[in-house]
Amino acid sequence: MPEVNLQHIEKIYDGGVQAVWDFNLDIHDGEFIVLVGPSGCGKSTTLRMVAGLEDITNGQLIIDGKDCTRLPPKDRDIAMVFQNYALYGHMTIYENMAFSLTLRKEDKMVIHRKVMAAAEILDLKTQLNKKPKQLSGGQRQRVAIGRAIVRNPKVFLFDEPLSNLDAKLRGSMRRELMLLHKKLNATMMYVTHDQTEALTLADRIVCMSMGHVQQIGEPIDLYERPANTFVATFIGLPPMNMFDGKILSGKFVSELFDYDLTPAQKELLADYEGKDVILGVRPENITRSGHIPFTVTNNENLGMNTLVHGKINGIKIVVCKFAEWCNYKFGDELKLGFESDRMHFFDAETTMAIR
Amino acid sequence: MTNETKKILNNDISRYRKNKLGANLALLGLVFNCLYFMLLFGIKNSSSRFASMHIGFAVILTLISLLTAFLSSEGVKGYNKTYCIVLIVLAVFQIIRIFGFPLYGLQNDLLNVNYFGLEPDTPGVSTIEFVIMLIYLLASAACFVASAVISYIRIKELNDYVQKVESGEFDPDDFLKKLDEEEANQAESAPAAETVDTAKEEN
Repeated sequence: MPEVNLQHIEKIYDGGVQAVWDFNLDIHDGEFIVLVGPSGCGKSTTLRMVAGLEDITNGQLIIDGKDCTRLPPKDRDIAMVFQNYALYGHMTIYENMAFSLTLRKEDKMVIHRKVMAAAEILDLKTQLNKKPKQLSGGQRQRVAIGRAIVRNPKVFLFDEPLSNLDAKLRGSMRRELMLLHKKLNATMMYVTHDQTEALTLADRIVCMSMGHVQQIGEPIDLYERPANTFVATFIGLPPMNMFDGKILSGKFVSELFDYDLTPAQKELLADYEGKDVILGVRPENITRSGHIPFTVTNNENLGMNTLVHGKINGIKIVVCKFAEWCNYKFGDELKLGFESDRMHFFDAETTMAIR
Repeated sequence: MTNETKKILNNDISRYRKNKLGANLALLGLVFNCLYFMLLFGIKNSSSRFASMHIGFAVILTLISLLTAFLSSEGVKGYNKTYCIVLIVLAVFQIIRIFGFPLYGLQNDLLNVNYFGLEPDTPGVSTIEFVIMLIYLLASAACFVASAVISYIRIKELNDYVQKVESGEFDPDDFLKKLDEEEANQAESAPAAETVDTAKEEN
């Protein structure tokens, strides 16, 4: 499988709107890259530029050592799977999967063997004589993936392929995609706004916002070592709680509470004495053994854990995640603390993580 | 790939692909039928009561034959053996039609159509047009017969194959896997053989 290099890629539309700014990424062979970010952050535009469906305004796209920046889509040897499946309704599943190879005028026996092999991988053998409308959403998406597999492309591109499916089906399809990636060991680029998909599928995640890359790294990096406040609040569900404050005499001081820093934190924040910082704590890293007063407003039991919403000092809304079944009622008072080794500090001016 | 392998693969393909050759041949027969009636219905001199009645009757027959040919085309496309018989009947019908109006028109010099640039009312034009009609009807019949025969052979082979698969006598998945493995082994051994050859040359 080939490598894909995106060098200083930019997209400026005719009206002057810039959708992607200086995008740099080297995708290694067999790697599963997920582009994640909110709607309008430029992730789909980036994917479409790789596919050749959008022109690249500036920069260079290299696939398997070949400059593909200005190459038409058909010559890039790339297969794309869309959110809406894009299947031909009048054709059977077999014909849909064989279609691209038939267009290339490949031998019908070769086509047959490729289609059957793809159908075997995707467990579609019993559906081959059916029409797309006879299949469920998940099966249709598998057909769309099968159509990509039979082409044996250099790179697979997925543009929010699971967005049309219900939550249960999305979960099972996600697992199937993971297995598929293991079986094919193919280079894949996957766009989603769903962080669960990003965290579970990716070898590396590219987190984007407003056309800029915010952070590139392994899922654990983005979760445990977010580069800035955007990544910190975007990755993780519920999002990270953020508190504005200052570092004063070895303490994090905010309008809501004071927090004594550990020696390691003091060392980390030595240069920030008297400066504004943002403290970030994930809901699961909040403990009930501290001094911060917290008033419960809502208690959501999720089975394995409980989300407790509430306010600190009656102002700041905070979400806590406790790993047990809780039965707090509106108005219950708690004293909260933070797991000291799981606290994140960000520069209030630049929003970048302090490391 | 051996002929036997190709035959099995072709049968397996038939499980998922329609019988397009048979269907297209039947449609070609239908096209010739259309060409025939375009010529027939363009006859200008139909003063004879018999000719008028015959043409009216021919309109109904043509409509029926067109519809039947189209249905048969769809039937054989889906590997339905019954439609092979229908196609043979249609072919026989096309041949019998030659002895109806075309022959009567020739004998009574009624075939005078401005067709293919032929000038009506010139001597011998009926004979030329009769020959063209004859060709159309025979071509149509030939296409129907060819479609029926090809489809029958394919349907029989497919039915035998499906029977074997359903009874467990033959597993197409195993067959395809073995074929892939054989080819992978061949691909692996090919570079090895090349290396041996190169080594021999170097020695």
